[in-house]
Order: sequence, then C-alpha cells, then structure tokens
Amino acid sequence: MLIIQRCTGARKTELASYQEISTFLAEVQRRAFKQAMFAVKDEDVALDVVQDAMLKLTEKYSAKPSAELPMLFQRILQNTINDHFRRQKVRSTWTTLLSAFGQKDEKDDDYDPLETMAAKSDSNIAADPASQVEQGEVVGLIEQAVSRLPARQRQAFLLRYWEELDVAEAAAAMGCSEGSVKTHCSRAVRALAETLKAKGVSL
Amino acid sequence: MNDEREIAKKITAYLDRGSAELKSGTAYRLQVARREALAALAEPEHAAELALAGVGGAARNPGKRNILTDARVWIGVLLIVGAALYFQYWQSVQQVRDIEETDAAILTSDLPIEAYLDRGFPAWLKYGTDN
Repeated sequence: MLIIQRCTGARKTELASYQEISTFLAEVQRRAFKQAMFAVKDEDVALDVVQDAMLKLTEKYSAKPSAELPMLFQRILQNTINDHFRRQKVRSTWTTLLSAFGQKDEKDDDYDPLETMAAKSDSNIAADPASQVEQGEVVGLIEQAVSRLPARQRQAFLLRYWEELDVAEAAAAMGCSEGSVKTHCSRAVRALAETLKAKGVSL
Repeated sequence: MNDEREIAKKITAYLDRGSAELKSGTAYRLQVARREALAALAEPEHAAELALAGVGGAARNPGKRNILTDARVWIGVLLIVGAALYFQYWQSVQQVRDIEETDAAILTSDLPIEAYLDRGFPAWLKYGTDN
C-alpha cells in the first residue's frame, strides 16, 4: 500500500519528458494560435507569438512537472501577447511623435476618419446574418464575437472553458485573483450569448 | 452557473471546429514552430550537436536577440568611453588649477621670489631657526 502511494506520489511530480512536451505542444498549438489571433488579429504576429511562447516553454520550463505544463504554457502565452502589445504601444508612441514633425500638412489634406475607423460590433456592415449562418459561417461569427470581447474577459473565458484550466490555474496564468477570473468568465459568457443572439445565431 | 457552462461548452465546440479548419499553410508553420521549440529542448541531451544547435539558435530568432544584446553592449561601451574622456578632461582642468594656485601663493607671499632660488635659504630655515 505504502509502495503504491509512493509510486503515485512520484508520478505526480515526475518531470516532463521530451515525448510529453511534444504531445502537449501538438495538442495545444492550434488553440494557442487561435488565442493569439483573437488578441493580435494578425496571422503572422500570432504565429510569432505562439513560436516565442513554445520556445520559452522548452528553453526555460521543461524541467517542470508535466502536470504544470498547461498552466505554465498559458501564462507564457498571455505574457508574450502582452509583451507584443507593450512593444506596439512604444512603437506607436514614437511613430506619432515623429510623424507629428514631418507630415502635418499632408495629414490635414488626406486624413479621412472613415478610412481608419473600425465598424462597431453591433453594426451589420457584413451581409445579412441569417444568410451567413446558412452558409455555415457560424464558426466565423463566433470567432468574431470572441475576438471582440474585452481582453481580460476573453482570456478568462478561453482559459477556463477552452483550455479547461480550473479557476486557480486560470488565475495563476492571468496573474489575478480567482474571484476576478469568475467575474470575467461570467461576463464573457453573457456578452457572447447576447452578441450571438443579436446576430441571429442560435446555439 | 450551469447555464453559463452549457453555453460556454457550445461556444468552445465551435471554436474547436474553427481551430481544426486552419489553413494548411498556417498549420504547417505551426508545426515548424513546434519542431524548432522541441529542438531547443533536445539540444542539451546531445552534446555533439551543441555547436550546430548554437547556429540553429541564432538562425531561429534572426536578429532579434542579437540586436538587443548589441545595443546594450554599445551603450555600455559608449558610457565607459564617455566616462574616461570626461575624467581626462576634468584631470587636466584640475592640474591647471593646481598650478595656478601654487603660482598665486608664491607671488602673493611675503617672501620675495628670489628667496626660493637662494640655496642658503633652506639651510637658514633649517639651522637658523634652531638658534
């Protein structure tokens, strides 16, 4: 009995093997890419983000027990996405600062807000929702709705329900309290349900 | 709560379908990314491949990390060179100031300047004051 207990105890803290990490990454890579896509909305950037996250996992955290891999990878992924936005913010600050010197006159002539403004989430700029649904684009509509969620809500929703982390793991990956994970989750689900209902998608 | 889970389950089922239907190019690039990440994992186990792994590491992340370390190195070098130049400048200024101070002290002292040139004067200072 004691021996069995010891064995299971040892298995729990066993370090992740090459094969385990490989299988884990293969299983998680597509979802990770989609998560990155929802956040950064650019395929190349999303691929870079996923690759960076995978590299960080294998370079720095491969000595962790295999049971911790999902949470660790999600934390790395979220941090990599945040890093991307931080870098982008710095870059855009410099760009606006520098462009303020040179292109002022040009800007006044050519600037048209209609060219750069994004459509509101509830606008029906796309085709009639019913026909879209009929064409089997429910997936697209749902992905669109998810990507339009506020960042924290989307993170919480995807970590909890798509990656199937428990509340504590999701909180650790997001770097916030368990309470706020729950709040973000329920708000996200409510928002998604409302958006999809408005678009005529019945789940 | 159960309702929430139910809706979430349905939504994630669609998300699963979406992620299963990735473009073949994207799926391929993901696979390549995974293989490279796993190569980083395998490196320490094969000592013979370490040299190659280093090359792979540099090619894997073209320019990104190198530029960063380069920039830091350059900033460090600039700081050191700047500090050295400033120290040299400060020292020469200090030297000139010292000479000026000595000159001024000699010129304004009560003793005539010839007294310093007179050989007997230090001897007089040494022995003359004893008596």
